[in-house]
Amino acid sequence: MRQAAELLQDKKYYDAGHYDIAVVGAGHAGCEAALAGARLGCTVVLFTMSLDAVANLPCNPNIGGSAKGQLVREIAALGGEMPRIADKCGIQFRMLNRSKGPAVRAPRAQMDRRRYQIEMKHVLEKTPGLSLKQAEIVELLGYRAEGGRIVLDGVLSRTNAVYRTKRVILTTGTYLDSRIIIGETIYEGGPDNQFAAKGLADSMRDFGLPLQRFKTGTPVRVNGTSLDLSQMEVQEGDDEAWTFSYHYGADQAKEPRIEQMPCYITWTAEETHALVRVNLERSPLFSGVIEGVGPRYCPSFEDKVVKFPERSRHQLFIEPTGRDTEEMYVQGLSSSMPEEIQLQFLKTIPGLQNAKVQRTGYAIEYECLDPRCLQADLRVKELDGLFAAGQINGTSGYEEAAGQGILAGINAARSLHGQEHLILDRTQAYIGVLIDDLITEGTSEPYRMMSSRAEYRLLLRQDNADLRLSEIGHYVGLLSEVQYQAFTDRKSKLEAEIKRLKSAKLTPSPEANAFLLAKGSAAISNSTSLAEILKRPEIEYLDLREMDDAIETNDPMLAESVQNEIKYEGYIRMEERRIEKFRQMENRVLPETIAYKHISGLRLEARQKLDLIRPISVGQASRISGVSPADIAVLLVYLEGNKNHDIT
Amino acid sequence: MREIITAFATPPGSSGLAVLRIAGPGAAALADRIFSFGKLPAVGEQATPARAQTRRKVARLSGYQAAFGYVHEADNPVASLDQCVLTRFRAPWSYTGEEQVEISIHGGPALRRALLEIVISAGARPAEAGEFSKWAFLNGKMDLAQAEAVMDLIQADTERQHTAAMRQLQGTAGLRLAEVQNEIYALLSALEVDIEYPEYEDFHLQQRACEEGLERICRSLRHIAAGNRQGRILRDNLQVVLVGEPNVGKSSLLNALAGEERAIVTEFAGTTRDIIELRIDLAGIPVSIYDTAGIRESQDPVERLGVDRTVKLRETADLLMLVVSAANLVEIPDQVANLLGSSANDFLLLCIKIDLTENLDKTAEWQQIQESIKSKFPAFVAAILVSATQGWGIDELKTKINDYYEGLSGSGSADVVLTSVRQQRLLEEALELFSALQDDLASLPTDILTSGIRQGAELLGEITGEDVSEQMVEEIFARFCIGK
Repeated sequence: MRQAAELLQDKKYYDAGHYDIAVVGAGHAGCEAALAGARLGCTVVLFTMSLDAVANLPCNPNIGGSAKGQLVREIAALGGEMPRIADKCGIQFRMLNRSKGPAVRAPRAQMDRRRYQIEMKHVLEKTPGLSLKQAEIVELLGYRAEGGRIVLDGVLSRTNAVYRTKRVILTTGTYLDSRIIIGETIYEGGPDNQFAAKGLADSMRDFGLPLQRFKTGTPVRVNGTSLDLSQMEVQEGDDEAWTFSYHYGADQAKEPRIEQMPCYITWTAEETHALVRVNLERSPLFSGVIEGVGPRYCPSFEDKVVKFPERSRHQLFIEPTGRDTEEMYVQGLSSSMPEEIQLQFLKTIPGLQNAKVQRTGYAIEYECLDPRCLQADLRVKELDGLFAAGQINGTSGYEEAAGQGILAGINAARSLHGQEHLILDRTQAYIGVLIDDLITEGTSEPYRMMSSRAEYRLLLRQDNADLRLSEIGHYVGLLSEVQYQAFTDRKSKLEAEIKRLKSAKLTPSPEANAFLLAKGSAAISNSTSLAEILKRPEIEYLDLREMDDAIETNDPMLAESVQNEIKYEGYIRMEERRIEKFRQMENRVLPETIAYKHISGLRLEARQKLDLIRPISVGQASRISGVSPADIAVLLVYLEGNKNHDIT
Repeated sequence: MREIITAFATPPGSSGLAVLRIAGPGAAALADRIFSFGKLPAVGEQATPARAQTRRKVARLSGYQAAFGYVHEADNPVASLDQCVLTRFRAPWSYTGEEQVEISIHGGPALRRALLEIVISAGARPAEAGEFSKWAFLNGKMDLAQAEAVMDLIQADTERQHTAAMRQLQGTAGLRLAEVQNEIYALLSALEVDIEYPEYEDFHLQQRACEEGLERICRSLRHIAAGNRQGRILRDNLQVVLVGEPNVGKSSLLNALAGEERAIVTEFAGTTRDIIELRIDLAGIPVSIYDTAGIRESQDPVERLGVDRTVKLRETADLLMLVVSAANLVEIPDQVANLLGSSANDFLLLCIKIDLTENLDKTAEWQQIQESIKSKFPAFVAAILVSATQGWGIDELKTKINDYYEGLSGSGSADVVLTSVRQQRLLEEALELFSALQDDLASLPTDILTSGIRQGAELLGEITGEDVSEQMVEEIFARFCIGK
């Protein structure tokens, strides 16, 4: 471990200046972190190994999806950048799960990849206080202070520049000591033929950070002009012009959507699967070449064939990657088989028989943190000044990364300003669920956000992320005044409309009953509030305009929120009662100094786990596997004993 | 938001008295809903205590003050259970240091169970092992030395309970619980995968599949609940109620059953003279047989009250024994219908033989009567010809009771599960929840449906100690093939 001042005594190194915050890596986590830090008044340096790879989407060319779409909405509500840029660069917008209820409805859009990168890079460049630099960080600098705590004081670049800083946010994605694997071919490298980041992982180990090795992969890209689209099913986007941002156009010029593009669906065939089986010994996954743990939710194609031998075909999606390119992404065909075999796959798939491959699919292995070394504010425990966000924390996905990035950026800035750190809990946001899962349970594979991981998902909806988080976004200072004004307008309109529907009555007139019967609903014999009518499953908010002139028809987002709040009122109340119980345990704080190893009555496993994870609340402690309800009871007793009797 | 907790402070099993403890803020107010001051109205008295009595409140009692009164259903003094003595404790001068009430009642298992259910229905939650001690400590009622002992105690208590639960769950019933959990996860993961990956056509779940899944889950849960009755019976006795016209011969039947066994005959609840409880042990199965007041439609309010209690007892019984005379066989089906009224309980039909009908069991006529009853009443278990005076049929009756108990689980007698009230309630709640989901399926959107199924899974998970969320994620990946 070396100190900045120590290095600067050596002529080989030079002083590259002081920044409040240094962000290492300009992917989705790094961009949000750097923007949040700079917008909160800090000087920020954002490092990227290549300026041409800023905000890259090296895998799926889309943003959002189930649970991920909710994350993007939350980033919007807090004042982040991803949603705004996604709105600008979307080439196909789809609201998923429309018919399955508001809790699981999720926005997703296909992106023009290049345009997304250009837009994000431009925003970074224009942001005051933010310096975007092409440099590889190879070492963390710091020293051990009195009392044994490690304190960061800078970072070192490959070109011997010493950047002095007290806050470092690591957002290295999949670049740490990464290697690419395609069949028997293995080489050091990052995504899209970028270089691997060398040295930094060793430096992190030197600082005592726990690392693990993960694996992920991506499919081939093909030239769209070589495809026979007539053999595929076309999938168009939504006509309705929704956006990820709640107030798109409030503080920036509203631009019309760029020209939209369709996706295509095709299927693998028995012959494709036969190719996998015949060549299985050449797959690095099965030959043992790949050591990293891969994610279950995006298995490679060869995984799927081996795991589900009874299936005669697997669905593939052919997705455009931009307006200015013919390159198409083949979702479902992720593979680390030799290039030759991947080419043979295509020849067996309807519509892709003559496909010209532009990029080969590959598996990538990389180093990442065991996230149990983090706190809920994304600070590394017992290491002053170090934060981490994104894939380095064991997650997967652009949205998961951006959600962590904005929180890490906010907290790095708040820690410098001496303000209380922002922590989102499981009842407030998917971001909270994500972080709590990571720091409490760790993860043994790249972690993907899924709506089934959120136990209060009736409250964590995509339509109400602003109601949940915009006050916070404004309080910390990320949400601009214009955006905040737009939010409070929407909120008061929403509340007024709900109140109005509860008092406005539908009288049992012949017209009213004719209307109800026409909707397949029962007639009424007494005056009934519009809210009660709306609670009926067969009645939609907009249907009510036939009976009521004041129904809001020009604001679909408002209409959606009004409808959800009223229709789901009963369920929402139930969930709120569950949350009250949850909060009780969450509010019981566990002091950082607690000596778990010496608590009489705790089982050994519980002592070790609690000592490793050091939960901030009794609630978090109860979610640690290996900590039983009995251990929690003992802990409660201990806490009270400490308070009442001064046990130490 | 501290909940009110309750449990018997006295050990399980038969005893002269039992003490139920109710602790937590609001315990006295809760007691006021289920306790009335004064003497339990005797049969015939109007259930209108003196005005002075009605004005008295548990909440107004001073600390350590005891009151004589009776327990009844929440907010319904007419539906009385038993005379009792209640002691009021004021915070912090109680065992737990909180507001607390203790109720002493007579110690029969049926009565104990009924009291516990009343208190739970009024809003209390069954206490966990060691929970009273835990709160006692948390409220500073113990010194430092005691505190450390309590921590070890809680650990030991909970572990013992856990071990006991695990041991039970190893049995066939445990396997069944695991099976139903698998069914739940299968349905839930099918729904969830369609939510997470809506673009994959193969994962669209058909309404039919969902209906069938819920049906399977409900069926399995009912099956377990049935087997679970055996566990409850071993603890609280098989509750059998004799029902028949006065003077048909119930008393002599009871005496015949009592005669051969070491039986205890007590006046039920020590208050009403018209319900007699006989406890016998039939090859290891504890049985309580109640002889009740004859059921007659009566205009007399005096008699009505006694009849009300009989009706209540009948509703909660495991098994009824209808006693009729064999003098006129043709009338038996009508008599059965009369005696059963609206009751759907399982029943044994006992025909009191008289000398004239000595060889009745061999006749075609008797066979026909049995067939006719069987076809008309789905709850019919068996018919037996008995003569209390001659001692005929008593052994057969015992065998039938035994068979009935064995038959409850459907697969042998080793199926004893979930002996704790808490676990039983969890199972019942889960069954209730899944039945409601099944009924409302057509109008439920997927998000509400999944949230309901998930809560059901969590209830069962509390019995088996599984983490639902992680389990479900595992299932999704194990069952479905998705990804880029």
